[in-house]
Amino acid sequence: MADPNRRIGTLRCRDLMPHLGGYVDHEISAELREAIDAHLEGCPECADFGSEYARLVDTLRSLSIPEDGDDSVEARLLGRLGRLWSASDRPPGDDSTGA
Amino acid sequence: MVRRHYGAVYGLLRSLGADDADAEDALQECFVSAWRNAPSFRGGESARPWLFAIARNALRRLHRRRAGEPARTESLDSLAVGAGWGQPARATARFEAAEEIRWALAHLPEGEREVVVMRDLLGVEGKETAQALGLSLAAMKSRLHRGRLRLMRLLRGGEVDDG
Repeated sequence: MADPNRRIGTLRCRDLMPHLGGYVDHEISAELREAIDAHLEGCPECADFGSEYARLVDTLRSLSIPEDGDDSVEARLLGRLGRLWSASDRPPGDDSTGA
Repeated sequence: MVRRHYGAVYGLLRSLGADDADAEDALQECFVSAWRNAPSFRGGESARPWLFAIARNALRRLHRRRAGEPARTESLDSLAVGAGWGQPARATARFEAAEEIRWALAHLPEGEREVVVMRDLLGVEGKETAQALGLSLAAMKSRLHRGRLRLMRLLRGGEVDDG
């Protein structure tokens, strides 16, 4: 790989790495974003890596997590909560569990 | 509340790597704990992040009974090089393949997988994720970044390790 201490603009390649997540998530200051943009413009290796990183994050965000658990899972859960409910005079909270 | 949220909580547990049996155990522990601690829940907020935090802790307790926590850490530079930093792009297609990514997620260390699942897959806000996992915001962001880098390394064919 290229020298991680190579400096382009105000940042070395190595300096960019801890901020890449914040850069992709838009959670860094405008000043730091500007410095990273300047580095990426002059460093194709970091730019390529940043693009791959961003592509992975896009895919992760597009993955759905189906609401899981079938009727039997629900029935066993409600059964256990129902037994707890019956074993005590009152639930510790309000009656919003729906059990 | 149970009917509204149990499916999402179960889905979270399965995404965190629990098999059917562990997911159901942790699901039950989660709602029993929620029921017992209902007075500590601040009304007006969404119950789901609160339940996610309880479920995640229940699953961790299950796992701790069986094995110790991984202690090894790796430098960010080393992790990034393994993820392809400074090397020709060659795994782009795998970065867009849902099944490949789900496989890689399953091989992340538990702490990193939790953050990636909550932030990237479930879209939980950063502060809520940090709170649910008992981390500072900075620590949560660092763990998220390391988890993503490790996913990239796995997708490039890198070693499966315990972090």
